[in-house]
Amino acid sequence: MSREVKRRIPLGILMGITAFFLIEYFAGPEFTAIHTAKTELTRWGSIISGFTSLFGAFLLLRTHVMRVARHKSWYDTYYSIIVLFAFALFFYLGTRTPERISDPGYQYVYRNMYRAASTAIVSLCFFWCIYGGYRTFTIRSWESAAIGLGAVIYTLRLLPIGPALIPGLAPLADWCLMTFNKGATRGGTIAVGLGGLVLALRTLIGKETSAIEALKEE
Amino acid sequence: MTILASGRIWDLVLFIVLSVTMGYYLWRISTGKPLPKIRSLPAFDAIEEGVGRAVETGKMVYVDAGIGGLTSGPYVPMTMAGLNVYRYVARLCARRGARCVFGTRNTQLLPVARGIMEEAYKAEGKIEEYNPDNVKYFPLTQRTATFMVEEGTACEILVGAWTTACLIILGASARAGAIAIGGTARWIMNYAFGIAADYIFILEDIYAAGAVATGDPVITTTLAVEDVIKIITLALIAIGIVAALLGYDFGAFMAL
Repeated sequence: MSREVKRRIPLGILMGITAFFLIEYFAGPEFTAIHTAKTELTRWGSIISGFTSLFGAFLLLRTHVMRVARHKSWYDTYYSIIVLFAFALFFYLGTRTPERISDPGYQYVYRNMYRAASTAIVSLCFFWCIYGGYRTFTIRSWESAAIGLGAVIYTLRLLPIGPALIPGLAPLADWCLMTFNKGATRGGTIAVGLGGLVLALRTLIGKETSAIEALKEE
Repeated sequence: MTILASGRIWDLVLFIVLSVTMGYYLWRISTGKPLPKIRSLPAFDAIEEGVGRAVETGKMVYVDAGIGGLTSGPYVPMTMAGLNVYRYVARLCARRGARCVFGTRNTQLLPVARGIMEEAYKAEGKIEEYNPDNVKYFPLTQRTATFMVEEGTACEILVGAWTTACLIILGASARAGAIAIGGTARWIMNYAFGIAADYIFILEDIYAAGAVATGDPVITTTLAVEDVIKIITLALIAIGIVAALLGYDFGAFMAL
């Protein structure tokens, strides 16, 4: 199959499905066949989504197996072994036991290893976010100055000591939130919606190819 | 029998206007007539500077398309815009000889990202320089940050759907001394790029960047279509304000 044909098939599917979803959006409730087909296609979307995640997981496993086989550094091999071991453990407990994911073994590993590690990592993430914000926050443009000023006013508003020290702070902060912020949010939402709409239109005419990984022939 | 779903008349009108405008600009392209000038995006122009810096310093260009996938959900358009920018960056890096690394925490993007990078090197005639290991899976943003500091980063480009975690990467980029370029269409996260990135794509700028990155005149023309609709939307808002002041229920009229 030539490269151009390989490119055209997914592009054709993408365009066709976009056009169908558009028709379904505007079709009245009497067109039950169209609505049923849309529901079915959405279900297929979930199946394909699951498949692509599985495909990605397969690529990931292959990368780690190769890394262990190459054994370039102890650091890489060590972490790859942990990944492979954890995958094998969860896969075995989740699929090969009679109760699958309700199996006490699976639940034990999930609760005591996976969830505990996730909670710790997410908690750490917040510290890192604050650290990242602190390190990088500099007033380098009018936009960042406006954002910074808003952040200072509203943070002081949320702290009990802020309104206690500055009496006019609470109404000012609320006014900023309800006037500036709300107006900008609506403007932003409209602009983003239009941007998404135009992207959808590009998909409809077959010009949006980012999802099918093809570059145009030159 | 109702042909049109209720409450969607104005949606249809908007779609027709959009399609007609698009058709008009496509006609202009086909007849060789001049097209509207697209303003330059400083953040997009900075990508070349970032890649140049990567070539000079021998450090990498790090690209990330955020948390979104490609099959469903509201983040798909943002991810698509991010991948368009990534394709442009990968090709620029292949041409100039800089190392481009794409990191993701969504396994769905792994095969697509590898395909894009491979195609970029093929298109530049340097397929022997393509290294699939430069597409990396980082389940945790902290790991991304560590990687960036350890390996050395000259420029980072974050375009896509982002959560607060982008601050971690932006913090790491500051520590690595990298140029930070990024943006998201998620309103709530624009503050992070506003305060922490050197160059920011504000909201729908990421879609514009994705379009400009393709270098296709048809795609860049769609930005002009977007502007036409914006003008119509602004006019509708103005009419709505006047109508509300005069006591008319414009909202009910628009909900037809």
